[in-house]
Amino acid sequence: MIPIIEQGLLLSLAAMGVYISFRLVDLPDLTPDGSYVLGGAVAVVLLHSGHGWVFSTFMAALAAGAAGAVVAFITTRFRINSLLASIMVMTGLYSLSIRVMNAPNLPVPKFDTGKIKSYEQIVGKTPLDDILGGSANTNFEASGLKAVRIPFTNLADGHDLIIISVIVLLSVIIVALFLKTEFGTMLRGYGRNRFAVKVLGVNPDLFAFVGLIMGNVFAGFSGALFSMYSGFADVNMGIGTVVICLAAVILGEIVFGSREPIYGVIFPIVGALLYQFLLTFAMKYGYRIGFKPSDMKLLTALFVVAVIAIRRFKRSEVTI
Amino acid sequence: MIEIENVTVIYNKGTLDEKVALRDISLKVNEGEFLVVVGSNGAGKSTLLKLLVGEVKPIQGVCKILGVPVTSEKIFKKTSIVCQDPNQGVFPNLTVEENLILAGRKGMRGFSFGRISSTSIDLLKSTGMGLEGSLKRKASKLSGGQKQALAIVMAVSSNPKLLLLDEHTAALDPKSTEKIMELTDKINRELGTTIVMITHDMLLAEQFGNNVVVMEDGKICTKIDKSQQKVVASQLKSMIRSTVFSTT
Ligand SMILES: Nc1ncnc2c1ncn2[C@@H]1O[C@H](COP(=O)(O)OP(=O)(O)OP(=O)(O)O)[C@@H](O)[C@H]1O
Ligand SMILES: [Mg+2]
Repeated sequence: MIPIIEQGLLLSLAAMGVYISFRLVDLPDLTPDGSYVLGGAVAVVLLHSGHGWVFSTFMAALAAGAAGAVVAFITTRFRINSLLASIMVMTGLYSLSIRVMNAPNLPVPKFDTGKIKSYEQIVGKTPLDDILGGSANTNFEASGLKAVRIPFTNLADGHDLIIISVIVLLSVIIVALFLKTEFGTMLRGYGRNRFAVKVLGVNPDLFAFVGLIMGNVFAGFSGALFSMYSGFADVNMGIGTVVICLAAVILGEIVFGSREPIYGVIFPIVGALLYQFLLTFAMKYGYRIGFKPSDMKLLTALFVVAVIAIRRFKRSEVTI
Repeated sequence: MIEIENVTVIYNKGTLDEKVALRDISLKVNEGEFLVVVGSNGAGKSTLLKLLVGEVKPIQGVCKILGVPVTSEKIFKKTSIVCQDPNQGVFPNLTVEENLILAGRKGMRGFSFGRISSTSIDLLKSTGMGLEGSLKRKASKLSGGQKQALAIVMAVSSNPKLLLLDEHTAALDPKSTEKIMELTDKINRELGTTIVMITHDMLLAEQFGNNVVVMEDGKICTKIDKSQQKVVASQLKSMIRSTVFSTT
């Protein structure tokens, strides 16, 4: 139960990014598939070089945000559809993430979080191995890596859950307050009427930058935290991020109906939790109907298409 | 205020559906003037306003406002526009209040929580639509006329130097039209705002403004100075009709 909520909340941060780009500023952006990975890669590499987890996560979010800025630059400067621009950046990020990690994947140097009690858990071997001299290369210190304190213990005792909940709650509060300011109000307005922003004497392109940077900052943030949580960063871990997050956002919208508390920032949070529960349920009991875990992405994609189709069907095209 | 010299505007230049919308037009509008533009559908009236705010670029000639050639969205720092379509003037996903907070002044915003000004509320009341009672409603939930009234209030609440109105009363009932035109006239007289107003309502053209311009097929065919010559609605109407015949 607790790990499901933890993972749902970690996902909700990326979903918040997707909510910002797809819904708030209405610039569909596929970059999170890549910036999620980039976030994880940057964070883990920085952990390896001995930086603290806060700094590593911060830099990861920043790097992902830079990817968003590139997309914004391409869409606004060359008037290319944001979807197309983001496909370019997303593809490029695949190579970049491998460059950053210098490998397709990288484990987190987990060590001494203060909670792990047994020797085996720390070094991944029994004391007997030392005595018998077996598998010496698994010795962490001997590998030349510095051990770094990370916030997660993976003990499902509520410790991680509290940390993740606080992070998500703070994010929601910050985004909500931001959207309430005049600048944030204009950003929301930009999402539905670019011309009206222009008429106020403000360059609308600015909001494309802000929206896409914010969207990817959250994707990178989520990727960084997830890497620390799961103990690795992998270049393939971002595949389907956007579709999954979009499904989460849609689930949230369905839950709240026509209501829109705190500018809808709550949608991705509730939706991601719901998605994670559905995912776990499908993985646990799905085999009875021949369902495989790898089918989940197909199912998610079908779900998103179905909802979009239903909405298009229901909404009248004539707006008078 | 406005100087347009020998401007030609062509849509989709170089393609099959190339369309000359303005042909070698020249026009001068003085500061504080209230100019009314009339003409048949497709005459190029809206294109003229688009030219003034830089939404279309002339392929020939220059268009200057306050002595500066129109280029970027900076033009909107001192200019407001209300379009034919009520949806263009408002932020549909924001509440009436949020719309007015944003429209209260021009230019970039900071990270403060804005408050609606009393001027905006007064302007809203003067439209007589009762919108001041639905400040928390989303603009998308308003009727077409209410939206347009909100758009007009938004356009004038930042106290622009130049106000461009493209059939801004087309979506309004007669009573509201009267109210809005009263407001429009007041803004011109009391604040000295220069106004260019497009209308298909000849009675409005007769009643309001200092000058009337009749457009046809991308050209200005007549300019009437109201202080020199009385404008009568029926007469204007026949002028538009006759020019249609002459070009077809
Ligand atoms: N975006 C566009 N692309 C191509 N042609 C256009 C475009 N906008 C307008 N036109 C053409 O330019 C001409 C002038 O259009 P404009 O909108 O200025 O007319 P108008 O005088 O405002 O007409 P109305 O009274 O119907 O609003 C029309 O023939 C129209 O078909
Ligand atoms: Mg028009």
